[in-house]
Amino acid sequence: VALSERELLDQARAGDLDAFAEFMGAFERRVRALLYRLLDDARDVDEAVQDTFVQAWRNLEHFRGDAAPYTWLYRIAVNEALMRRRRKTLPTTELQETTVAGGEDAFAAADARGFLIERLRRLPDEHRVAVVLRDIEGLSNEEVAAALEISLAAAKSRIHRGRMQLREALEDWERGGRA
Amino acid sequence: VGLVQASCETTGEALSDRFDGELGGLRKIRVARHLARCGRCRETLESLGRLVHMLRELNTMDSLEGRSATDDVIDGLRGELKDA
Repeated sequence: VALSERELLDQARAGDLDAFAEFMGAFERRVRALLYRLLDDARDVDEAVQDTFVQAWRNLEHFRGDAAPYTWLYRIAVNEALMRRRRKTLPTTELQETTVAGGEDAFAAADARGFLIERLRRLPDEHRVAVVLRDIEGLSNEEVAAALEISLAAAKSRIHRGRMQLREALEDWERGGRA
Repeated sequence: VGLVQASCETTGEALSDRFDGELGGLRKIRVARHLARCGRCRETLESLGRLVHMLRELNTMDSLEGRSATDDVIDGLRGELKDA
């Protein structure tokens, strides 16, 4: 019988690494997808995935049963991504040229999708994270607030501001400005 | 009171809530009244909707490739436990 995510976490908390491996297997792709949209370097993504789960293991006692396991995990992943971004000193113009895992983004600005990916990278971190969680990863406003440990009003504000910046840029691009 | 409607600025701030279906009460009514009369705000709402649909399509979870990190992480943690 497959154990629920919470049961796996309970067992992991008791020191069961096999249970934690199963938990990690259930969430690794989601965490990788999130980090893929928050980081601009393929190696960073790989390392951040590993470090997210190591941090999760080390902080199992901080998991509160009232939160969804993935919300808790996303919080760790976002913190990991933001820490890595803060450590980077590359200016924005260089970030645009950085290779990203998968290779699809090499076509940045060749079409609307590419433009959007590129523009998303240029958003301020707090707006980028909020939009990625809400619109790309599909979390609810409440889940975004929980993952970022901010109020619902603050989460909605960040999501809205991020969306509006992207909307405006996309509209300009579609009109032919292609900034 | 029946003619009260939101301004462009207030409507602009409420567009994400409107798109997400999270407007309620008087705010919902005022924004709806404004949108019925303001083509510019309607266009902004439409383009916001297009944007969100495009963003949803950027979810790469099913297409991401790469070696699983699970074995490396678990091996590392097992080593830490052994050394502790």
